[in-house]
Amino acid sequence: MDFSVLEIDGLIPYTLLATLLLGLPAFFGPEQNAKKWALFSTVPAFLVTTWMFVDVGINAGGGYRYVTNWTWVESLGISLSFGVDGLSASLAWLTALLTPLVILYSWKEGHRQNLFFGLLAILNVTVLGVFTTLDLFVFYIFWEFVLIPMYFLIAIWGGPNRKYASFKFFVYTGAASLVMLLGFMAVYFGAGLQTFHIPTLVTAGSQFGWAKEFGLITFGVLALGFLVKLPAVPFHTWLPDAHVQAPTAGSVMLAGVLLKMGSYGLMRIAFPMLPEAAMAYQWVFFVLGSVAVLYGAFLCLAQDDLKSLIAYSSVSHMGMITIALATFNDLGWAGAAYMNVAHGIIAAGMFMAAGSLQHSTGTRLISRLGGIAQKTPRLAGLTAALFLASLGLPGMMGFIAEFSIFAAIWEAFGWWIMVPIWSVLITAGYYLWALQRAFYGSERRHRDVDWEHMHDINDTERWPTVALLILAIIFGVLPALLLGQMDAWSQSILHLMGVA
Amino acid sequence: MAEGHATELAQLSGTDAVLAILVVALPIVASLVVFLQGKKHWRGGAAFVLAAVGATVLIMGRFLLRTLQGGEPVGWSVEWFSIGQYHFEFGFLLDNLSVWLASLVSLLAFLIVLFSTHYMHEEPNAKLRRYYAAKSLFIAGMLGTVLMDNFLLMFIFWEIMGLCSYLLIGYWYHKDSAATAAKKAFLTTRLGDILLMVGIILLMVEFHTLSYREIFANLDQASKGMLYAAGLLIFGGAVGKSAQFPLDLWLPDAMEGPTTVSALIHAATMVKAGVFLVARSFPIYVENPESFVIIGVIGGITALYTASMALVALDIKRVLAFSTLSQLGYMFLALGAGGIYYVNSADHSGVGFTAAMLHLMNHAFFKALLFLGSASVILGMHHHQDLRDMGGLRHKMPKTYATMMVGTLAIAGIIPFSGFWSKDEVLATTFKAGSYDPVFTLLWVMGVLTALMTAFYMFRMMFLAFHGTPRTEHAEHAHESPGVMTGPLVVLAVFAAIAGLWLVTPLAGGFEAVITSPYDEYLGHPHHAAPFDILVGIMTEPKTYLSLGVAVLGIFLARKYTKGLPDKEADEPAMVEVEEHAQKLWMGIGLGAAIPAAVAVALGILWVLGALGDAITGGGAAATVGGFFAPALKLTGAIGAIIVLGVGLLTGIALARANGLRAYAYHRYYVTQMVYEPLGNYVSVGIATVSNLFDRRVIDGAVNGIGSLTLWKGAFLQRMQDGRISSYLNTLAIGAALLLAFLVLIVPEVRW
Repeated sequence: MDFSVLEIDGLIPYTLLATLLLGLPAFFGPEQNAKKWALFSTVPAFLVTTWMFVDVGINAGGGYRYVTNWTWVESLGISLSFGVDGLSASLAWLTALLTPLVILYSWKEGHRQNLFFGLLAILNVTVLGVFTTLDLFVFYIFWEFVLIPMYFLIAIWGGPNRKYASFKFFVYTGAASLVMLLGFMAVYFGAGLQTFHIPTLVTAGSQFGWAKEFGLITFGVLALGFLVKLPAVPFHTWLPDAHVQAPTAGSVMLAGVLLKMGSYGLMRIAFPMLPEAAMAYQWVFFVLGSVAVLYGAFLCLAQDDLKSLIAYSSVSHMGMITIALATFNDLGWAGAAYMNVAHGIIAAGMFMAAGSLQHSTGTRLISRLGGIAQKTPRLAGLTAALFLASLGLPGMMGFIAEFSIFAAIWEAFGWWIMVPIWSVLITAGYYLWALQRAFYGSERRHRDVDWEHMHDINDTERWPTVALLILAIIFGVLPALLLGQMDAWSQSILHLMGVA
Repeated sequence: MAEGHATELAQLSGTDAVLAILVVALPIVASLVVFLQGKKHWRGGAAFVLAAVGATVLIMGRFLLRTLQGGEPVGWSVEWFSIGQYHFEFGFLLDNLSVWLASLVSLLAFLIVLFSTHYMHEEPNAKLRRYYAAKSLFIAGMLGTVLMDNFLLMFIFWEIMGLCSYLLIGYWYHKDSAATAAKKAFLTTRLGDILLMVGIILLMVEFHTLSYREIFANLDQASKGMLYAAGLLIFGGAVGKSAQFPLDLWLPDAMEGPTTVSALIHAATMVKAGVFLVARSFPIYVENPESFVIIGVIGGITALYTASMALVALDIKRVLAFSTLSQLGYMFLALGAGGIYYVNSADHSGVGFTAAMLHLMNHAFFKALLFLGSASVILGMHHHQDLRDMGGLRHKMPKTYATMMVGTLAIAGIIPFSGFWSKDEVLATTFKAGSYDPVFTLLWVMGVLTALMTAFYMFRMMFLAFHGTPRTEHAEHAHESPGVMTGPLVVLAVFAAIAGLWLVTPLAGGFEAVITSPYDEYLGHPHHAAPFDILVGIMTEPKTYLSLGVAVLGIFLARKYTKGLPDKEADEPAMVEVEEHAQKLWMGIGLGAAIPAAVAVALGILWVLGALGDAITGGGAAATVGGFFAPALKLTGAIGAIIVLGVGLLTGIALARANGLRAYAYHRYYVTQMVYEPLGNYVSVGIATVSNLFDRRVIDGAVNGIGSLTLWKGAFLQRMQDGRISSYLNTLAIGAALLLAFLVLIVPEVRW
């Protein structure tokens, strides 16, 4: 198939601009049309990213495609550079997919619709910018601008404790991005190439090598910035607060794509630019990841709020990515890229299900539920299926990611695999235990829950969730659809870093 | 690594490849159709499943015929996905073992689904579609597990079976007991599956492929130690799936599902997957014969241990569940003993392997028959399962009685019913293996004891249910089931009666010739005896009459002890009383084990720290720590073992004096209540609660502390919280301006 039709200069920035412009009427137009404009604004980005995703998949290669290279501030070496490769094509596609799904899911949102749907449209642009830009400076700008819509989504449509949670989210991750910026500056001046262009810096970094101390410090600073976003233990406590308070749309975008910005930053910037320093941190990453995987899983066992449980499960699953990066091998890096998308799809679906649980029953607290599956069979089935996907049931995409990462761990760390592997059991434990207590068994009829008016998931919320579940199954049965490009990317980047 | 290649595998023709795919795909499609549309159709869409499974029976029949005519193994595969140098394939391996087992599975599945159309007819369609969708998917899972040509695909279908088992045990999810049992089954088997997954990963990284044939052809290139570890890890998966000691706890509880589910999944097929897996991986174990000892010991212990529970069970389904565990133990015992015999005997006889497989087949027939028979009884008894409520049913349900009696004779090992032949072969092999490793002589004694118990508990069950006079209203008004249920019973009874005779009839050269040959290629050509010689061998062997004798003795004992049945009311308190003893026993063992365990954990932590230090510094700390503490570890282990044994012995005597042994066995020796439940409910939740407190108070507390120390918090927070965009945008604009100023003005002045 010939994909060259769309190989036009400026495809990505034009698409971003179109998305932004189409999103403006959502802000300023009549309120009843806000959601329609917001939905409409996602169309070009979805079409273009799907096209690029399919193309990169079929013509799998490690290099960048659909590249734009416009000079912006020549004196400083800032450029409007964009492009996608096997790592970012799928993440951009995931962003452009989740946004319309989340708009559809929130179709019945009635409170300040202009702002709500407008913010979702803007969020789409900013996250797409993060995943497609090839310039550190522009990356930083998009990265910062992602915080704004998410901050307002939590602060205005959030739960009772939304002020605290949104503020914490903003300050914590904002502070981390300042640290990250410090790292960017160090790389910029350290390389002395007068450029923020990421591929140039990566090639340069792996070729001439950095002074040892400079590399160690810079990598540490960069990694710290990204690890907060991931989030890695012990920098994770903003996440459960943000998730529990955020509206469903916010949670979906947060878990689905915002966390991936952290892992994307590690894979795109920190590791490739400073490979030798990264190698020195290998065991740090293994320990950080193992702690996150096990500790996060145990925390899930202690949660009463299902949303908080899913939030901590994200900590645990993102810990898998941390370990995967420490392996410095192909299985691990392709597996980490796969885990990004797998967790993005599955966690997004789980947060949708948790939101519907709130709407159906008025609570998400396991201690108040119990035996509701008879009243809400569809919701119960959907939640169970997504939980099973998340616990790595073969046949769904979580398993492929888990299998390749564990194989990578064996390849790199040998019998140390026996440490993180037990998270598989604990994960199955907390999901099934939660299902059993919240949905199955006899009806508990807690006095704070209105049993008479309990209803099953409605169609507006059901179909976006089902769509995510179907995707999780498709990519579980046909992993090559994603793995082809990720494998090509990981081989080429590891080769460039000189470790494979 | 994969230098040498397996001898070229004949490729399936285009038609046959499509048919092979259909074997797995049809039940999956049927499952989808039933799930989406079943509500509107007869009995929740049962017809779709019947049609799909019926088609697989026909297709497998075609493959089986070719195999029996001496067809060579054939295969077919395409690349599924790849990561770097690792290529994963989707493909079939149709050799004697897989074709034979898949045929067996599809036939049993068809009969059981047919049976369930009536057995489940009281269920509403909306719920029934869940039953048939999961059942159909399960059938695809089992067929896939057997037919796939590599470990990864096998594992995936293996897990799909586990999923369906979970869904079907929890079919009546509104019952608390069903929901708990489903979770327990999934988690326990998952523990084994984790080990299996690590085992598979070991093989994958070593051989760069997961294809059975490629791996088996290159075994000599891998290190023995790695193969030993991989083999044992794979066996760990089998222990979970086949519910062997110590992961046996989930299967009796799995009886919470509909009886037709127990018949298919927890008797005839899924629990056999573990046996199949070990059989499939046989060449890996041959590399390290000591692993056969472990397999045999686990099998032998399970056989005896669970048979003792069946002696006193009062629920008709539980008798059968314990019996299933015990018989699965027999199969592992046969594989272990067969492996030892294979490796050591002069003629490399695969007789033990054959015995295990023959027993697998026979057991699939007679246990499916017995479970379906018990389903018929339960339906006739209006869903009462307690043996004490039955009695005299043989006059009310003559067909059920007659067919179940065939199954009972078969499992008890009465000549010429199927179980006789396989059980005799299992015991004979175990005895022979005893001359190479004395532990198998002990296991043989345990096996003979198990045979005695088996005959006892099965006839006890039959006598209690069918003989005597009705003891309750329900038994009084029991009725025979319709033809759609008794039909499958009759078919299964015929197979349960004659299947074992394959060993001694020249059908396709006899069972031994058919079922050992897939391994000839890797293990050299094992000798197999002609069917007539086997018959003569069995009939002239004195030990044959010993095992027949103990079976008959078991029947007499059952007759004797079911005459004076304990009164139901008087019995319950006695059952409860013994719990005190059990608690003392387990507390003693727990304390005895806790001291060495604590020492071991402490040493383990030291070792981990040392190894971590090594990893970072490249020193030898771990070895130093290990070398220094190893004798200490052994000593504490020995002391712990003495304490455990002593406490066990003393409490055992106390229990026997209090006449509590029966209740003790009835409660499965309190292993679940005293070991697994505390581990699951208190230890893990305890760690979780402490972690949660730590997370909220310490980690997040530090975050908030830093936050409130920050001076600008108050003012900034107020500005932020008014929720107006303008104020925020102002802040951001100022920030951006500062940043730009920093970049343009200050940065160029800095010299790095």
